[in-house]
Amino acid sequence: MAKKVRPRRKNPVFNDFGRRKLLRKSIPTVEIGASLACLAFLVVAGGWTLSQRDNYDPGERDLDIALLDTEPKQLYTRPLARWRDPSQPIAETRLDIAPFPDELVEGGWAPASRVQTFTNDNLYEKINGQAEQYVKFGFRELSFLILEEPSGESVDLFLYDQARFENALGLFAEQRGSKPLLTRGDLLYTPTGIGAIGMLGHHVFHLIGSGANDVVMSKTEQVLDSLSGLAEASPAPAPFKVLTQGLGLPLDRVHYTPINAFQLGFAQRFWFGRTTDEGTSRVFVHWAESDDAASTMFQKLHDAQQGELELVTPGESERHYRHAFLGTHYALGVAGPLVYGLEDHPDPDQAVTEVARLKEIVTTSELGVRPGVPSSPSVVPTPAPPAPVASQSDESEGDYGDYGEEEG
Amino acid sequence: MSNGDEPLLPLDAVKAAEARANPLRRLAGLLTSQRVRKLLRLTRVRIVSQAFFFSAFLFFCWATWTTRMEGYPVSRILEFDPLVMISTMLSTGYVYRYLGWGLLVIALTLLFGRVFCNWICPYGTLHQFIGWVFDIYKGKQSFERNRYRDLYHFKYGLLIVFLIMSWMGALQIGLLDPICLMYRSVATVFAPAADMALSEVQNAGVHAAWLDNLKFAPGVPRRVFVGSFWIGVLITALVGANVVIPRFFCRVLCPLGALLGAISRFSLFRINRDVHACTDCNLCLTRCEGAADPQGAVRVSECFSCMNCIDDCPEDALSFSMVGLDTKQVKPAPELGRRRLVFSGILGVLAYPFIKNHGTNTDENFKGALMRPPGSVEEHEFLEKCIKCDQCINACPTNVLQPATWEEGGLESLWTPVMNFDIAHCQLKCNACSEVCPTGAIKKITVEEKMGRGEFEEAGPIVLGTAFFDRGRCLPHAMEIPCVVCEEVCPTSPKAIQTEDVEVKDAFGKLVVLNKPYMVPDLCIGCGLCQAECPVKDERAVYVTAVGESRSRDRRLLLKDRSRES
Amino acid sequence: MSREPTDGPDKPIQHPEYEKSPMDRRTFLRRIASATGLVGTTGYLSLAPEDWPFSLKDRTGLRSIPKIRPFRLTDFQVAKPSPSHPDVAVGRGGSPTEMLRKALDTLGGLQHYVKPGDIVLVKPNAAFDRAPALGATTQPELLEGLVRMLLVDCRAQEVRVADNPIESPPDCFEKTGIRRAAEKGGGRVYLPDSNAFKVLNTPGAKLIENWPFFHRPFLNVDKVIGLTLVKDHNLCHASMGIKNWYGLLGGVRNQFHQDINEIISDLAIMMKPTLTVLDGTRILMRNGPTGGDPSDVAPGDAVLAAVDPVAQDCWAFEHLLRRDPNDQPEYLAMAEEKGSGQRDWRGRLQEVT
Repeated sequence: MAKKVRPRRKNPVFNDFGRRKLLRKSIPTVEIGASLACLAFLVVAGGWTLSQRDNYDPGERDLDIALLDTEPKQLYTRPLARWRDPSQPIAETRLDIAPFPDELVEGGWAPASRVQTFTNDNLYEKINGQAEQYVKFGFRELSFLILEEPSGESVDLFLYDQARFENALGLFAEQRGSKPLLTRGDLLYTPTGIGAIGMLGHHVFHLIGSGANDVVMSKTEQVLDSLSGLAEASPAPAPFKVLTQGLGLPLDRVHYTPINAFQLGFAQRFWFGRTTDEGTSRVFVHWAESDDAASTMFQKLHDAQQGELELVTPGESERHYRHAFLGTHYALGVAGPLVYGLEDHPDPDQAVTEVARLKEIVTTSELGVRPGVPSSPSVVPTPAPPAPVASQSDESEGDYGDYGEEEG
Repeated sequence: MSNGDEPLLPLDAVKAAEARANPLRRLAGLLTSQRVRKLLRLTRVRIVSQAFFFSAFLFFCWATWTTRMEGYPVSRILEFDPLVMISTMLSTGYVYRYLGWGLLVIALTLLFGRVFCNWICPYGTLHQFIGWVFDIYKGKQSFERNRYRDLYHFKYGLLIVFLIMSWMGALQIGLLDPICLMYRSVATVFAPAADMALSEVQNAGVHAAWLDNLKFAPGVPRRVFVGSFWIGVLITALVGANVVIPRFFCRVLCPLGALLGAISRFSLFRINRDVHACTDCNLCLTRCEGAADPQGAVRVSECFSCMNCIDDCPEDALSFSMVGLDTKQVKPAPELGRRRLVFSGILGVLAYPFIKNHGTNTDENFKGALMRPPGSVEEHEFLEKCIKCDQCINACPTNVLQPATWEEGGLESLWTPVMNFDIAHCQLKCNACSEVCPTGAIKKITVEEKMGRGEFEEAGPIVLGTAFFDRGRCLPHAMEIPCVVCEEVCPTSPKAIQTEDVEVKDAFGKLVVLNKPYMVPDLCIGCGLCQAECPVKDERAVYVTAVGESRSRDRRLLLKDRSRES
Repeated sequence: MSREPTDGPDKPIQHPEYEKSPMDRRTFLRRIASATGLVGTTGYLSLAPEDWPFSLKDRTGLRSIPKIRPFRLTDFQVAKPSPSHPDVAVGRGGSPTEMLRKALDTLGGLQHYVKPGDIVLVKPNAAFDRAPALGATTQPELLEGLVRMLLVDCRAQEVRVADNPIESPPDCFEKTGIRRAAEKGGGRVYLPDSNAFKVLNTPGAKLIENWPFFHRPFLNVDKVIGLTLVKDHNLCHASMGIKNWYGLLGGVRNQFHQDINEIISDLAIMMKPTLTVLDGTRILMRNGPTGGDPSDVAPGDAVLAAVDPVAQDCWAFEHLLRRDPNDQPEYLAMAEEKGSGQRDWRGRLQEVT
């Protein structure tokens, strides 16, 4: 540092950038070699870096248009709400009153509020005390609506979803008691002083008016009409139709036994119809899952009756028996998925005629034999006892009694 | 070259004469010639190497841009940072993607000591360069500045604190790791400054296309980075400290240097002083970068292997050679006593609960503004991985990614990426941030994954947050003025912002049809385009918050996606 | 360093080595002169009345308000080769570029409108980062064809492609394929930096009389061609040729949604393009203007070129978007009122297959 390349500034800011003297004396060849190796490494590193330019998948940075081609989601578009003078009353507000038919809000009748629904969890809030009865019959949901009329009259609509036709029928029978039974299409009902109660498919309904006057009653009629005109939301099961429509038995002679028919454990879901008002003679129909199941049921029933019954007319698909002690006539037949028969008929000749008629209905008419694809889940036979009924099975076996049976 | 005529090798002239006859020999002669030898000495090659890596670093920063990235390994310098590798391995238990490259530097250190610091590290290069430019010291002053000081053990303590915190799950090395610091400063301070300068040139009327190519972020509105002032202050202060203590950061603070110093005690090569040749002139200290005491017992852990001392030794007593680490001649280990070791350990153990219980970004007190870029892992895991290098912020084409300030998540999240939808939105078909993330805090995703298409149909799109309306500020809702920019720009299909069309009479009695926007949260992906474009410029009438983000189960908003139900 | 002790407070403290150095006249005069000069100059600059030369006085504070010097766009329109040529031409059949060529030839050929040596700006719609097949942005194929025609057939000096997208500009240009198409054809892409804008003065415009405009690509431009497509739009029902110019506006343009029809009709008088090309091969029928679902796009078979953008948009609304002409967007009527074209295209349109 003895010599200075440039005279130093007095108050320097920067380095004077003078060339620095190399003080070392020798530079070994190894060092040159190492330097060259370093330089070579740098060149390779630089080359490698630049060569990475295309080392990527452009597909990861964009989306293949084909992947967008999925089913487009549809959103509900709210319609344009037109300008309305706020000082005018709400004239045309239409509330959605499903599941009730829209035509109920006509002629000045309007819903007092939206439809309220109640399920098992909160049914007691609406009908505290009576809820038990509905729950026993497999209650699923209650839809409740009040219709009002400008004069102040109103009709309360209760629509109980009982899940299965049989449940509805049993519940309706229990509620109807001995009141007269009327039909309107598929609708069964009985009028009350201020409305009506009734059933349609697996629903039970109550119409309760605000008073016994013409306004209420005519509205009740209209409600019954529009309900009966509803599409076959839940048609009656085939055996029920065979008995009521085919044989023409009045409703109060028809009943349903979900389990333990004939005191036989395997005999489930049997429909019975008493052939006469008095006496114990009954026809019965059972709809099995399949043709094979029906044949099995047929054979099992045959085997189970061996003790008391004597075979009179053997046959592949129809057999007639006589009771060993009472001398009454019994019959058992199978046609497709349906098992039918007659029990305890006092007159053998008449019994044969009745069975023949039953067979005819079952095999030839539209009501019978080939119900084909079950039209509603409520009539699909299931191997296990139906869920809503099973739910209360632990209460007492006895309650399983014939739901359709009339006490008095 | 004042006394360059004096031949170093006596046979040089003869050899040169021989070489002239044969081209091969001529090359050999050229290589052995005095001038070339001087050119090819290690200190010269070191400068080339530093220039190379510094330019590579700048190139990578420049190439970290949506249209330039291609397949360039733009985060590779971070990925071969062994401190990143070791600390994320401690915090997560795994080594992400390319982080294994850190072994390269470790291997290099085991061979040659801390060569990384003076041959590769761009931050070290910057320090050395600035130190050199402002070096006005001559004679005794210049080598007194390069003596070892007790202060220099500080970095080892810092490293221990950082490593213990990482091991417990609070990764904070990014605050001071030189590579992270460098990337972060370029991304948020220098890049926008450079672009600003180039824009001024363009404003002055130069419209050449190459000006655009020089910019870090061409073709976009000016980029701003919230709180970047402090990032600028930090780097300026650290670099400026060179004027007081040469390589202040490298000697005193650098945790990566400390790590490499700790490793270099096992290195094969070191600076060796021939005590018989040495005249104790102290000239070797003149340019000693590491303050490694080459004039006495060399401190191997402090030596940057810059080779300056070899050049400066008039007696050729110094050499870089493969010799043993005899503790009488060298001090191989860092000077960190047991007391200091224990103190640092205690600090590290204390720091973890201090930071974790600050409670600014835990599930217990989660802030809606803490929205992470798409592909980010769950927040707890994110903080174990993010090294605050801000490469994602550099890569972001829209400027939505911002360094978190103290407000969003305290010290723990400081300078980690958050999305600020007041500034911009997250581009739908862009995964740049996830491509560049070296540690997997932002997991590498494809656009397919981001949009939830193809094989990701089941998982659905990546949701960054959920938009909400402030109906008190929204023009159609609050003031009966038509607007719905938010619906127009909503990029999902079908749009997550739908309108309810209402005809009303406004305050002036005019009948207007308003398209009042409302949210369908099931479809919202939280891209923030609605917020970015909302004309209510200050407190936006539609804004996105983190709730509903798909990376966290705890911050889920919807029980089920109604759009996916049949 | 050390001072002589003083006898008392009255005695002045005087350094023993003190020497009196009297000021000479020269120095005195020089100092007086420089002091006078300094005070005089600053006094003049700050106190002289505003209309005096070099005065910096700002009595009311108005002088220091920065003056915006807006620029004006020239009329880029070129007269038809003869009055018998149609105002709007529809090309059908073949590839989009062939359809475009047919339409342009019907108008009298592109060479009539663009002369050798012209600098041409093509304004595509690159507003969103969408794949071209989604019908939200200009088809790259058509852009490349047009750029090539301009450079090869018309020997234009330079073709510039510029737009100010809503989403991230680099991504939009990249992922719509527009950058690649433009550069493949030989054009240069201009992206909107924050300082690429300048205030544009449009006389007669209601909302944008003075408004920031994407100015840089318009330096020395001779001809301007709009190249866009037909889209549904959530607010103004249809985004077509005129709405395309929205992409040249800067500033807080999202306010314009408060009066969308006014702004679009303003655009019609702001920009008098040489030609407007409408791509009717992919039509965004709903969910516009962003789209995003391939099922929103209907295929079409027409490319339009026009010297009357209003008539062109009317025809496209009816025949490409297939909407009821009675529901026509209001801005078309307003544009006609402002004198930028006529809505009734009957008799002025020619279809070629």
